[in-house]
Amino acid sequence: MSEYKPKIVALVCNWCTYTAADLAGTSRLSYPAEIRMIRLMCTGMIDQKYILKAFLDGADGVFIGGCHPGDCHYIDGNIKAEKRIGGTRNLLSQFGFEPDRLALQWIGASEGPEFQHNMTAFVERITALGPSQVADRMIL
Amino acid sequence: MNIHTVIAGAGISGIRAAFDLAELGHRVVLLDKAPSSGGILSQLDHQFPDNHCGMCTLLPMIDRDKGPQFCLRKGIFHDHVTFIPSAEIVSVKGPAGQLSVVVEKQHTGIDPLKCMACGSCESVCPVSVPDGFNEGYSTRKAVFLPVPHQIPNHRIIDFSVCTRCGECVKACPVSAINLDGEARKLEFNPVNAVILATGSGQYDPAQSDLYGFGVLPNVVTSKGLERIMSSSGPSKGQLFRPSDNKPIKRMAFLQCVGSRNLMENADHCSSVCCMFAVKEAVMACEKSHDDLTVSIFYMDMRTFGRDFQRYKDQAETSHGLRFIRCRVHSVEPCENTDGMKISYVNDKGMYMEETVDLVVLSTGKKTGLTHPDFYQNEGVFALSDTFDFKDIGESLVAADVAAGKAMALGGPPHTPEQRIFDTQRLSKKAMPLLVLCQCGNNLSNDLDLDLIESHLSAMPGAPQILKLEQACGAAGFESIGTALTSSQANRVVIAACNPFLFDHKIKALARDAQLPDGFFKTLDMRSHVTGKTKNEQTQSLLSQIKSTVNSLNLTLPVYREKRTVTPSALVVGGGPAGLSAAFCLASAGIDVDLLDKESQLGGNGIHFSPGPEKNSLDKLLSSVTNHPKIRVHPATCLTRHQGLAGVFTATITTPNAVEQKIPHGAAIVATGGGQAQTLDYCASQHNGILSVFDLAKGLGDKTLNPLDFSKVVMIQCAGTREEPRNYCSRICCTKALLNAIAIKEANPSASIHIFYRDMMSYGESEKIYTRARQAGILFIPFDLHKKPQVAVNNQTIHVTGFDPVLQEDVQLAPDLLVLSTGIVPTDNQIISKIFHINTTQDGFLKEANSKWRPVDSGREGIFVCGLARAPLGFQEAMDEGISAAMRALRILGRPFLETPQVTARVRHSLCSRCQACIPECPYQARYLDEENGKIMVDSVSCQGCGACASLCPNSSIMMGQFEEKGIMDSIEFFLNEACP
Repeated sequence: MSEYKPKIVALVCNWCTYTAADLAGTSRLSYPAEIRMIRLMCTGMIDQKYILKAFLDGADGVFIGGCHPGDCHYIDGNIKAEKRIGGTRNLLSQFGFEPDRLALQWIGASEGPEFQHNMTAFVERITALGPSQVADRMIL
Repeated sequence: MNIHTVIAGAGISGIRAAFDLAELGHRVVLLDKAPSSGGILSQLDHQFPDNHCGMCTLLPMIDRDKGPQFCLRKGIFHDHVTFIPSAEIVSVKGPAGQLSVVVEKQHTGIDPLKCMACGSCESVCPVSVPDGFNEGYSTRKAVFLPVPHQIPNHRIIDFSVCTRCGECVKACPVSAINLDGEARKLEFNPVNAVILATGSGQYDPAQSDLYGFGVLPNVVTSKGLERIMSSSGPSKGQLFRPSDNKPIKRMAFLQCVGSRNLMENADHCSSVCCMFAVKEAVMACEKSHDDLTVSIFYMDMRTFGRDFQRYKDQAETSHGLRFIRCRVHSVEPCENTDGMKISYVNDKGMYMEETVDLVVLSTGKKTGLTHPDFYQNEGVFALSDTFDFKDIGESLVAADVAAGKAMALGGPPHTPEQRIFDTQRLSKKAMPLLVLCQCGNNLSNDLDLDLIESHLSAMPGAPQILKLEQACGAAGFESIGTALTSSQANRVVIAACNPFLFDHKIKALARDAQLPDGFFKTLDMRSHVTGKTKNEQTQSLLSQIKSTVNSLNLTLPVYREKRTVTPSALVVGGGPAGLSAAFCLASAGIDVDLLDKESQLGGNGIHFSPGPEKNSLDKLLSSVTNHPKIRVHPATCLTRHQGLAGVFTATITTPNAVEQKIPHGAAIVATGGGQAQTLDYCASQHNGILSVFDLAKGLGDKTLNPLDFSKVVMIQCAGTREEPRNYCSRICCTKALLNAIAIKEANPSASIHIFYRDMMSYGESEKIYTRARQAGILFIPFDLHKKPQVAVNNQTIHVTGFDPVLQEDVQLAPDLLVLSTGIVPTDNQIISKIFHINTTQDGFLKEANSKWRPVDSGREGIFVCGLARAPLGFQEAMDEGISAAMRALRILGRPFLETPQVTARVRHSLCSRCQACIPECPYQARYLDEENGKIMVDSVSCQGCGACASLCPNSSIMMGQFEEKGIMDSIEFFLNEACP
């Protein structure tokens, strides 16, 4: 399995996590190449469809990064996301998939090292889980 | 373009003043002595009383497209604001309105136009000095990044430590370094006004030998601790002891270092240190998972702001913070352990010792600062109490007041830019142009640009590609311009580094090409390209380009609604806050309807006794009543309020029961408050028991004679600062002190005892507290569990209270008992319903954010100020009124309000009118148009968060550049990418 490289989609909020990613980039804190990041204005913008689409298209993990509770530029978008993502994790486990393939983390704008750490840890976690079966079984 | 105002100091107040004026359409130059913006806040990640950041909330909300939507801690980007770092004003000459301002810009050694922020210079620099950004807990080179997360991220050279060895010059790949430059002088002329928002520095505890700061490595300042705990700090967010990086088990905060100390000539309170300490204590407990004992040694816990008291109480109960009332005598190193010994005398008079791992000094403001000599010039405005420490919300209010004065000096009316669009080009199918910057051939080593090119040509909607050696220079932008003119491209993606630096240049390109700004997108090739190998990085960039090009291809021109603004305002409440708001608006040329339910204007001010406060209120009253732009409606009630920001309608009922409709563009709610009633302390059982406000009134109008009282007892926080009214009313302590001094001065033989919990004489009112103590007034602290007891027997008042110094009860039989009962709002129940705005649990009108939007209600176009919002003093209320008026002028000062690019819109054909989106909107921007049966979006209030879009079961909501299809496609691109 040493050659297995997971496919990971990261949906991140413009205000905090994207800024942290930016800081990680400018501070030359490299994070795993497996991650493909999509910037959204707010994690509250994340539709369940996006997460399911990613899994159905072959993602092994979906990472969602937003502002710490209370820091949201749009007051409480991250709290809305938390509820929704909790629901999606339940859905994954109801269908027999590992809910840990979907992660939500709060990463503040100045937390470049935090971003790097979270990304590395997530890739490790997904690598340990191995390839996702969601796309193959197509039952979602 | 003329510069309207030059603002010195790019801390939070300077930024707010700059945005205030910029939103009125004025051009502003904002400069700072430091090489970065944000002032002290660039070093602080979290703020009390919620440990959140939220600085981005300060960004303009009405005309969002004037700057990139990005974290404000990164830097200031706004079309109308020019930020000049490392610069100071050296002279201001000429009359107000036509000032000539000379600014000196320090030579920082690196040419920002050439620098690509690669960092080669820093890696070769041999110098190593303590890093000021981390308060000396890490080191930096002589060439360094002043604030790691800010852009522009060009390094600067600290010439005071540079050895001029020239290594950096040799290492720089683009010859951007010049070690021999000189400071440059820049002149701005004519300038309408200058605002000084230079702020105060922090007291340096090394200047006195108190507490061993600078000698003992584990004695740190509160700001130092903030850096030690910060993710961008020396230990990347871990809480370690500076001397040996061991974990911390016991921590002590010593309050009032450099404040409230007559020996240091510091007879003031620095206002924020108490809450600052509580916040840091909470953060430290959270970081160490409560495996930490924190003691806070304090004199008075000054928790006088919104939610501060509950925050402190919560910290005490959930994290077990110890609050110990005393001044610490000394801090010494322990002999046998590696800790430090704190010795103090506790409130029972016992000598105590404690060993701790870390001592935090809550250092206050620096004293002895003076204004520059041009401060006296006409047209130069300093923020009120520039050198004071203030909470963020209060700093913003002070900035609004200064911006209001600058605005009053005139300037061109707000004329929004009229854009012409090339409709022919826009109507064609999407033709993207991709600009690939090679960054002076630096990127070709890391990326296979040819491969990217060949892959892109195969994708549907393939872009035309323009490869440039350096896109960011003037030549680069010229080539992009030429490419746009010579082709039919109608969308542009620029892949380069640091795209925010070029925002204004990109906007200029968009203007010239007659395309919307939203059709230009930038992609950061340096920061967001992942992977270690060339192959990985190329693949990463390729999929990002594909996704960006695709989402841009899907972006359609936004229909921009233009809502014509009704250029008049409604002010509800004619107290100090309402009056000053009305006057500020009227001075800016706005028609104002001022409503008051009473027949006489003035609010609580009508009870003022002769003195400076009464004089200034009388002056304001006559200016308001005589102003041709202000229509006063006395004894009138507001019954209904409808509409959207810019086009509201109010229904009012006049004294003779006639209904009248008032159209207006913005509303200011200043309905005020009054003194609270209490049943505690036998309040109504004796006519010798008065409230602090009644005593002040009686002493003022001479209905009470100080000579009649020989024994006076005052009890602070009567029925307040405990549930259910668990907040401080800010003004009672100062009022009580002034009352006591007035009695003592007129009747020196009177004995006065004040029972208090924490004396809230914040800021300069500390001087009044000192004066009271010097006058011989006795102060006895009490705890909630040992309140003084009051009984009325045979027409005599008996007060029994526990004196912690004597360790026994004292019995008093005063002829006057004064209770500080605090402030409650008056009409908020009704008012909040009429305006559909929220109230706090204590019934005050709730601001959108007590830190960053202190006078905005949750609804755009409605502003709250004065006692209706929170307890505050007379001057504070007047300032809040001006602040509210300045916020209202963002709307009223424009001829029309335009829809920004990223705004939710409804596809009515798909909408099932389930209305689930209406409560989901955090800005109350969604509503059901009952006439047409449609769900509508108030495009001015909508901030484009997309909460509605993710919720909509029918995908009926369109989010501009964040269209569902674009995001779905991006996911597909990323997951189906072929390895090159």
